[in-house]
Amino acid sequence: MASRADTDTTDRKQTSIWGLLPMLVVQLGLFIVPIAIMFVYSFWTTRNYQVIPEWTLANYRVFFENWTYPSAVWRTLWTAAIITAWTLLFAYPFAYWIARYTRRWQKLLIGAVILSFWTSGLLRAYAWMALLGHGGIINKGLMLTGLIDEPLAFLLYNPFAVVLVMTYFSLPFAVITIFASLEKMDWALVDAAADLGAGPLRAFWFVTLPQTMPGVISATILTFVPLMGMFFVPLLVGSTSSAMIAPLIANLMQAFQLGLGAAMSFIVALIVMAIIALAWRYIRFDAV
Amino acid sequence: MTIVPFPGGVPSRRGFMRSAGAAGIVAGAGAAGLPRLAHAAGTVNWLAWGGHVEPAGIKDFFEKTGTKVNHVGMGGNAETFAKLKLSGTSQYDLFEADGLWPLRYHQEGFIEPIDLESLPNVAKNMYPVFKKIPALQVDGGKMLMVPWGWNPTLLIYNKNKVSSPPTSYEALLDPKYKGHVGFSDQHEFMWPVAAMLLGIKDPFRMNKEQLDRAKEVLIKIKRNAPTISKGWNEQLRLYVEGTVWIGMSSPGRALTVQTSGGPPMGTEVPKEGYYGWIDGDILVKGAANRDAALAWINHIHTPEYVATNFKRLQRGTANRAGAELLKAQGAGDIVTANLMDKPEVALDMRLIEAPANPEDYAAAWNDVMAAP
Repeated sequence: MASRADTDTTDRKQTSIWGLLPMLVVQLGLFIVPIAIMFVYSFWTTRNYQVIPEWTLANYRVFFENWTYPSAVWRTLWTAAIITAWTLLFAYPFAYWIARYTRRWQKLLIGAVILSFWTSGLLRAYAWMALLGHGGIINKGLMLTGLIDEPLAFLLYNPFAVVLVMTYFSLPFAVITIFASLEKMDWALVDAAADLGAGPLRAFWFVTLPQTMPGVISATILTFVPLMGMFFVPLLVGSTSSAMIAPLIANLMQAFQLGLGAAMSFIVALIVMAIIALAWRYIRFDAV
Repeated sequence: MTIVPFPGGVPSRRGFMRSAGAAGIVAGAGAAGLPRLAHAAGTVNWLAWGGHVEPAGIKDFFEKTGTKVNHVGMGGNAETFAKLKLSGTSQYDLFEADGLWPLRYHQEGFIEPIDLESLPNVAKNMYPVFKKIPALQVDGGKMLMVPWGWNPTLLIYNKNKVSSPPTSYEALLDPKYKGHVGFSDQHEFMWPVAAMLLGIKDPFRMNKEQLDRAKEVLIKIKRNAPTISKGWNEQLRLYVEGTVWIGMSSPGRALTVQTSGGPPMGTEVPKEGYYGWIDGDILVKGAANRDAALAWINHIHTPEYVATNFKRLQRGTANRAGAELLKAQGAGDIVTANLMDKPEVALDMRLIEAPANPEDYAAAWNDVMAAP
């Protein structure tokens, strides 16, 4: 006969299994099933707007046989890497400043960072175009003051504009994430380091930065991954020769090239997952 | 004393997830609402280009009939076709298309052809030439689409920057205009340019070898452009602010640019020929609200709706009464510039259409887009 303790344990197990069910449904419905569908489609082709459900590697072969796609992926990777670096460079000092020196205004400042999410990304991109364009505020202002005769062409439709605007888009994610890490950091350790003779830079390098590395890694991933799929910013502010992979995939989908689009998406997803896996290696499993 | 590196612990998974969660919540706070999927009885679901929507007209229709119109925004022809192929047409009563794309929809069995004479406002107000477009007629004269707007796509140029009027698409390749040539993301209008420059007769039925040559032409034009323009309004901005000096657009665009504060613009018919578009509304076969949908089409063909819409859009209209009302309202310059009083031009245009081999065209267009 089972003891009361055994029955309780079984009940708890059953409760926890049922408790997990909603999450399982969400996981399956929102993550696993769509990826599985994409995976299946990536092995099918389309011909004259008809899906041909015959298994083939043709879509993957296109990636390796045509320089268009690898070059776009490569361009996307290094663009995303540069923007991630710039984002961290700006986000860390900003988050540090908010966490360390603005006790009174902290909520307001974090609120201001969050505020940018309340406006459509597309509108914000257009706002940048209104700033940087030939007829934009900067060029008009400079021309009105007589500093220039012709609009400055380098402000828009080039890699500089892509990096600038996409860094702006990524900053809030990185600031919030790094700020969360700085918030729960033990600042007494920094004071202790100072008491023991460490200068500010040394204390930052050996005390602050290591303690906030989870935030930095989270910020890196949360910046880099969305950049890989960034669609409208490079199209709007980039040059005609800076196409990234997401708009090309969108073109394929819009042209009903579902299999090819799925294969390209899957290749990009695999690259992103490989990058996350690499980052994961640096997260210590036992430090929970 | 030794300062211990990583005193707070190297990044932990939980730490990572916590930080990620914080940013995720923030992102979620700003997420846009989901699109409406409604197909409520008594509501006309209208998949249409945003430019065709006049909220006052929708309100007026509701007050007169008690029927709501639910507008769902649509993108380009190919994109809409892909969307309807994947999700079916049952969510909509009406959708829109351009040029000869209705033929492609008809092949799929998506369309119920309409007898235009059965819609009083269309019968009375539309120019006769648009009621009987041969390529779009089936079943003893019924039309696959109720025409709405139209325009040829011609060469347009900034008179301050382009000294002599361009007479050929070759001007788009001229190095002296580098950084100032218009290049559209609407490939349906770009392939014909390349094909006509190469002397290829049918831009939508090019074989691979022809496509490769056309691709090279488009890449050269793209290298002369500052950006790939996305849509009508962005194109207008590029002309108005003087970024683009020469490109392709509708004839009325010259007036729109000038009245928007831009430079004086000219329009030329290229010697190679030109393509154009006629857009309109299509009744979904088996539409849940068929009668209400037809009533809505009839409503938008009142002169008032047409005049309001085309005064804002500034393109050619298929509606004679609307064009006349615009003239009576003192907008004769808009009517003339957009050839609204020259409907016969519409039937001389070659119309854009779905490519015969979409796989090759999609791949070639991506090659153009990705080319350095």
